[in-house]
Amino acid sequence: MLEQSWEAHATALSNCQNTDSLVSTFTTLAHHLRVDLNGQASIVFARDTRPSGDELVKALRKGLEAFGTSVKIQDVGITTTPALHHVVRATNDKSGYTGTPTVEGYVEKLAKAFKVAIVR
Amino acid sequence: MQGNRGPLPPLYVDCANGVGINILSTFAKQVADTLPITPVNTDTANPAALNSQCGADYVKTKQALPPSVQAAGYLAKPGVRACSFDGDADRIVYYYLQDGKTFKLLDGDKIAVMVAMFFVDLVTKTKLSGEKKPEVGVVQTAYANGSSTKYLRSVSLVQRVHLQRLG
Repeated sequence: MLEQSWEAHATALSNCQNTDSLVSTFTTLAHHLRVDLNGQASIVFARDTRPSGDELVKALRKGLEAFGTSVKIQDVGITTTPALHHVVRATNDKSGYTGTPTVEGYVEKLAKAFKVAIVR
Repeated sequence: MQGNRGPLPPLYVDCANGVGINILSTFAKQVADTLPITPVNTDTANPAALNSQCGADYVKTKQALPPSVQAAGYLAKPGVRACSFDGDADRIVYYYLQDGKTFKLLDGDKIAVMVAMFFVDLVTKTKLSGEKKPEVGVVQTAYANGSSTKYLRSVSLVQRVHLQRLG
């Protein structure tokens, strides 16, 4: 879920009337949030089965590609929200405790835990 | 803990014609010998079918089975349960027919209580005591039904009940 304060940021960005306004709003926001625009970033995303997904992903990729190689992109494809949560968490968890950062890893982890808990 | 009682009664999963089936089909194969799962409403190719006459919202607001589940008569047999995902499969409601007739809904609060009691049961079975005994905790949101919070707090085997703000 988007953090509460980001509702206002998203509103401001999506209401920019032109490119100049978008760039300046974006730069001001980055400064305000102390984001290093030259730093490395890692973005993991997925979509559900709604037809709008295609266009949204295209737009997202364009936005991310504007930052060149400093942004690492991982497209998890069409999957459920909880599966995406797992992939994000497992990607960030370098200890490996969360599991394999893939949809298959998510299912295997759940299935294994279920079978251990429900011994018949 | 060993057992040999065969698989659980079948579970029918209404995927709301959304993305839930993508995960469910793989999961179902991996737990097939423990829990027989039958996915229903799995038409992801048809955008108009998404959440149409099915899904968690439909069941919760209409307080009724999705027509496809009703028509198939899956829940007529005692012990058979069904559940419905919403479109992106991050919400779920369970339901069954008491005596094969009366619709009974198990929403998030009830599911949380049942899962908590299941873990309490497992902890009790370990016969661990004192510091070695795991504590059972439950996290609910502020939207949770007050009675469910009250019940959890009243059960002494649940040590912590935490209400978490969203966002």
